[in-house]
This record gives sequence, structure tokens and C-alpha cells, in this order.
Amino acid sequence: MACEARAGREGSGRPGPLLRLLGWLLICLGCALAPGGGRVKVHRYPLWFLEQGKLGGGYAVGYSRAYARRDTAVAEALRDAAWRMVRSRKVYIEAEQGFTEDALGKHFQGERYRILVDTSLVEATAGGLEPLDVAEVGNMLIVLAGKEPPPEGYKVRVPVPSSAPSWTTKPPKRPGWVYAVGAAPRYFYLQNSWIYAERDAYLELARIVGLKIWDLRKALAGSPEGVQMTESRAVLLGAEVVARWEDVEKGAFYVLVRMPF
Amino acid sequence: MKGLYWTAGLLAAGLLVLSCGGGPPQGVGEAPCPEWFSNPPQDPDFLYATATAVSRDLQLALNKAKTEARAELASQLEVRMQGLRKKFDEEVGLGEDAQLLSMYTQATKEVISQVMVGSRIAKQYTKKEGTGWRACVLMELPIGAANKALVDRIKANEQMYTRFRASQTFKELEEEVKKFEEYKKEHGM
Repeated sequence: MACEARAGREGSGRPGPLLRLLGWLLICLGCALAPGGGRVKVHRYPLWFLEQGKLGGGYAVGYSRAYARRDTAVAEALRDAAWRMVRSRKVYIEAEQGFTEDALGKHFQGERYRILVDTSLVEATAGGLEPLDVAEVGNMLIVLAGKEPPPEGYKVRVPVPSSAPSWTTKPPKRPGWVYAVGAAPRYFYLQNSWIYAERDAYLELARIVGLKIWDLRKALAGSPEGVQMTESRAVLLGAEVVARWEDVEKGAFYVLVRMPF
Repeated sequence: MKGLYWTAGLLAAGLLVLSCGGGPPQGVGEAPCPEWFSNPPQDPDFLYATATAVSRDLQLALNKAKTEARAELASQLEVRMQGLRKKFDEEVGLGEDAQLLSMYTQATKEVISQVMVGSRIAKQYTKKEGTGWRACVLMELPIGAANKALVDRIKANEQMYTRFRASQTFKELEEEVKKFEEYKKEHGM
């Protein structure tokens, strides 16, 4: 009896089947209008960030989180810019990666890397740098640091181009330069995506300069097994960021770096 | 009325599958990589290798594909040099056990150990595949004259670093670091 009463109350309070169907239809229409789980905001970046290579020497870009206290964030980004400026002069990179392979494919087993710069120069460099422009993009704060103002028109904020620049699929080839592209997925903190893509590009430059590879493959009764190790050690002189691009649709970040040789 | 429910229900289900099903399905027979993947260029000054890999992480997919392509380049190099490549057959499962005998097979083992200078991406392609990423790469390795300038430069780099390692400054640094490490050990730091 009690159950009947409860059922009766629930039944009277619930929307009718037609209403429920309409609700589902609305949800589905919502999904249809927002493919991929919703639209991602297209950020507007300063031109000096997207086309850093065109600024010429003497500039560095530093990253920070967009803290509530802006001056803290700017100071952190400025120090980061100094580190990146020192890195672009000279950096020692060690990188190792290990993979195993079986019938299901290749499996990443981990990596170790060290990116070493002369930290004694960072402090001295930071002292001589001025924040020439500061931009808050999403939850990230970026600073263009240098001594001279950037060329005219580079402080303008622009959306990232919707079509991929050619260098993302085909790194440039210019006599006297080695180019490398780094990529990273979207992370919650926007600056991490750019920092990891930049780091990836620097590690790739080191691998271009020199790479030791060990590869052992075995096949037993048709099932393949393998172990691969790569190791790289390089001193990079004058390696610098040339361009950046965000693939808004796929959530990927690309950084192009180059080094003279 | 019942027919109306059925129609609306089917419409809802159709929309759900179309719109929330993880994007448009990959076309049947659609190649996972661009055309250059199956037709790498031919150039006497370069060695080429292609590789593809998938991962839930973009960087990992690219790293896997790059390593695979570099391993392939290393393999090509070793074949060219007729050097360290070892390929041998091992008999496995031989014995009195009939079952093992029936499982007799050949195991092959390949070992590659190679140092490469100048191996770089000529083309790369990434795309979303389901919930992960697919990366396709075309790796090139300049050989002969094409590689000379780069090798010379890198050798200069190495020499510079070797000189630094051999310098008095570096030795002093090493000694100081050693002392500091010992101090930390003694004081349980």
C-alpha cells in the first residue's frame, strides 16, 4: 500500500514521456551544435609571441601563471625570460628515452633529460631586462623582455591562424640553420602547453645534433619483441624560438626553434 | 500517439549517435597517413625512413614515431656500412619433448647500435584518432657531402665541450662538488 502511494506520488511528479523525449532531443541538439564536447575559446596572442623569430635578437619571452597579484606574475615571467635568454646563448642538453615493443606495438618506458644553462648568468641577465609588453592569455601571463622596444606593430593581439602554418608539417630548410618542431597537448595551465612544446623542440634539436640509438629486436614464433634506447648529448649555441601555433580545434601546441650552424 | 513516441525516440537516438559519437567516423579505406608515407622520396644524398605510431598523448605518439624512424635509418646505415649488424638464427625448443619439437621455430635477433648526426624530420603529420593521436613522420638523414657541414659543426661543439671538461675550471668545480657532497653526507643532509 505504501509502495503504491509512493509510486503514485513519483508518477504524478515526473514529466510525461513526451516531455522527456523533448529533453533528450534538446540535449542531442546541444551536442550537435558543439562537436567535440564544446567550443574551445580562441585565444588572442601578441604578435611578438606568435612570430618571435621576426623580432630579431635581444628579446626573450617569459611565462608565468596569471596570479591574482599581477606584479608577482610579471616578476616571475621576467625571470623566466632571463633564463630563456641565457638558454638561447648556450645550453647543454642530455636526453634519453626507452621503448619496448611487442605484438601490440611500441610502448614508452620513460625518459630522462637535463637542460643545463649557466645559472650564474640568469641573475645578471634579469637585471638588464625590461618588460616591454605584458599579455594575459587565458590563465597564462607572458612577458616580452628586452632592452629596446619591439618593432612597430608587434604588440597587436591577434587570434591564432585557423589553418596550420606549413612549418608544423614540414620544418623549414635554410642553409646555415637547423630547425626543429616541438609539440604538446593542451594542459589546464596554458603556459605548460607552450613550455612543454618548447622543451620538446629543444630536445629534438639535440637529437638532430647527435643521437646514439640501440635497437634490439627478437622474433619468436611470430611474436616480435624489442627494446629501443636513444641517448643524446649536445651543446646548443644560439638556439632560439622562431614561431608558435595553437591548433585550437585539436588542442595541440607547436613551437618552431632553430639553431645556426 | 505511440507512433509519435517511436519517431521521436528514433530521431533522438540518431542525433545522439551522430553528434556525440566522438566526431565523424574515419572513412572506410582511408589511409592513416599522407601519401608521402608510402612513397618516401629517393635522393642519393639522403636516407629516408617513415614510421607511424599512436598514443593517447600527442608528444608520445610523435616520439614513438620519430624513434622508430630513426631506428630504421640506423638499420639502413648499418646495412650500408656492412658493419655491426648481427643477424643470427637460434634454434629454440629442440629436445626430446615432442611437443617442444613440434613448436620448433626460428628466432631472429637483430642488434643495432649506431650514432647518427643530422637525422631530422622532413615531414610530419598528426591527427586525432579516436581518443588518441596518430603521428606519421618522414625522417631524413643527410649522407656524404650533404652532411659534412653539419658534422663539422657538431664536432667543433663536441671539442669545445671536451676542452671544457678537461679544463682546470671544470676540475675545480668537480672537486668542490665532491667536497660538498661529502659534507652533506657527514651532516646527514
